Amino acid sequence: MSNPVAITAALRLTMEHEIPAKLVRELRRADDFIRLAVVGGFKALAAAPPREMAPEARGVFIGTAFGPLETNFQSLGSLINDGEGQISPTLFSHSVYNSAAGYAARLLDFQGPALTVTDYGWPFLIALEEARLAVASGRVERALVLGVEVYSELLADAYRRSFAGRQVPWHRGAVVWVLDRAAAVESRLALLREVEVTGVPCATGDYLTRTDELCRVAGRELAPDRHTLAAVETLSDLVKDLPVGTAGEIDWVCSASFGSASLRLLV
Amino acid sequence: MTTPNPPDNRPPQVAVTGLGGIAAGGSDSAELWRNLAAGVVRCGPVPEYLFRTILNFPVFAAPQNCLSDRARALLAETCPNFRAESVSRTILLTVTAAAEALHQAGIGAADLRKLRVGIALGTTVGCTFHNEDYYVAWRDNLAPDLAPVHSYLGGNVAAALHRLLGTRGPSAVVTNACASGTDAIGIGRNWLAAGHCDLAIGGGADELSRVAYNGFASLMLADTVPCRPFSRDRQGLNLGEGAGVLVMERQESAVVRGGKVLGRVRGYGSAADAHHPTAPHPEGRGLKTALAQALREVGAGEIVLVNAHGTGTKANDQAETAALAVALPGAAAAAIVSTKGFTGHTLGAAGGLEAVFTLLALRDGFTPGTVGCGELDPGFAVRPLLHSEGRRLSGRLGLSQSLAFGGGNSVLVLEAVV
Repeated sequence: MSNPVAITAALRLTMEHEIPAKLVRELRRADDFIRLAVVGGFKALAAAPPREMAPEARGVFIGTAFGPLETNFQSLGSLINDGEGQISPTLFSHSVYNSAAGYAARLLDFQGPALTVTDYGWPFLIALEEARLAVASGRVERALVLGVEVYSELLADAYRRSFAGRQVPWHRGAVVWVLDRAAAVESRLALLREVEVTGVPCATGDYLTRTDELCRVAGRELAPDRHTLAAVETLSDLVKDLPVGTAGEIDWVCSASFGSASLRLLV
Repeated sequence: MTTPNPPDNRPPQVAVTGLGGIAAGGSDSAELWRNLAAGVVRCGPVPEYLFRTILNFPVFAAPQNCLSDRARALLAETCPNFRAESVSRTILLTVTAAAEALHQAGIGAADLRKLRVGIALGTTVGCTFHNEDYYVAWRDNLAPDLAPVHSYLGGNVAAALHRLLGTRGPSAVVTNACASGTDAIGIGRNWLAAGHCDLAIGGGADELSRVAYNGFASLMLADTVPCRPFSRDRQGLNLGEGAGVLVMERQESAVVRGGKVLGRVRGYGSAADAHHPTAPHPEGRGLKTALAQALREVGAGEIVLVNAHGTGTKANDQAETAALAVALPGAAAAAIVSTKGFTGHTLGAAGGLEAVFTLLALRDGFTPGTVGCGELDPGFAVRPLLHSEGRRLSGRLGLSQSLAFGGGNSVLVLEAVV
């Protein structure tokens, strides 16, 4: 059985976001990776149609290339500075990639699956397809899908030294979508058909430069900014701002030296 | 690509046609199973070939040379220029387990090139940047050589296995902490059911790391002697390393190509506790939900074996047994064991290795007891097996379940076909 899947909210977030008052206390010890995920999820859910459902019917799906990399280095620094057995427990637990999914599940009361996947190509789209399958198969009624990146100063230094002092193109941010079983919602941005991501071997530096990444939608070419979230940020804007009265299928494809990705929207 | 769904629209059966594993207890699944049954425990100080430490928490280390001859032979065909020193230990462990599983499935290099191969692997250490020399030099503004950064960028375990095997298809590295390997097998199953690939390699891998070792020490979750899951006097876990992998296919496809069906993945469930950043829900709330999801196709009464997460920490073993008492009302009939007294806690690899052990036990109709458990905690609502209580199994269906940091819980329903 395959249920049609609706996109009911799509937004992007940068670090300039304001933390909602009800989350301030809960997020006081959280790192930026966790904050982006939780606040992004909170805002996307506020934008989605309200639905009554059991918490077990809601799932969180996060895709990230670099995860909580800055916290990972703080944890490593704590080991080096403070000595063996002295890593801060909070730093260590927050350096685990799925800490953000755990926070989001707890603070937003999602008691279905909480999945984190990592990939250097299009991690948000990999998480999106897992979420789509979960809704389509009836395992969940609603899925919160997040792409989150916070990078790190070490990575930025490596970028500048690898590519002749070029300005680092990325920013800390998140892309957040909400998926719902289509029959359960009256309003939606679009229906989501299959998402396909295929990776191919490439020079490792290509994951940082993304110089040949090119997206096409409805015959138009879009050259996104050169960072992991850029292509899906433009996709998110497209979904959010589909003109009223648009109808038909929209194919979005993206290609780069590290592979290809595509998805089909029905509006 | 074959038709994803049978005509009556039931989800296709997902068959297991190959198993592979490597851990402290053995370099392939047969040796692991033999040594588990014999109660061989290879737990000791951290070997110098991994890292130096002044802490005294023992570990379960895989052999120093963890790339098997079978893996070398496969790579000679699929990636002739391969150099073992160019990839991480986690990737070497992965290739060894995958090569064994593919060999058992009768899938060779030429077959791999013709198929859409999905690779879903769980890891925790394998996705992180833990090169201390680089980090220290960078922090000191010494502009270190960038090779470790490029190694990190080439270290995505699923992408690396695709690259080394020369395969194309969906790819996912699951980073759900200790439940990653179980979730990766569930994802592979879902891909096959949806028609996304013809063959899926699912499981997990992790190497021992100094950061994780110290992290668990700082959380006061590690034991200074070999761990004792479910014991009254348990004091925590020991870390381990390894890889465990299943080769999965749609049953129809496996039969058509003449592959031997070893088992089936009959269910998968995953759910969050939504309770605490590191501690499990005391009553196993998320695990109960995951069990209910996984058991949609198979009745709880048909389960004869539960390979539990059973880390040996106070909180995990309590939560897990509490959930099993509710979700498997006839749990007294099922043999409940943990294999972490044999492997240590291999983090992202645990779900893969434990799925392999579950299928081997169901195949043989026998499970060893819980290695390290001499006297049960009397506070449990169900009764796991002591080490001395190996048991004959009267059926072919079992569970392999994992609990994770962050409150993740994942369950597989596995069936042996004999």
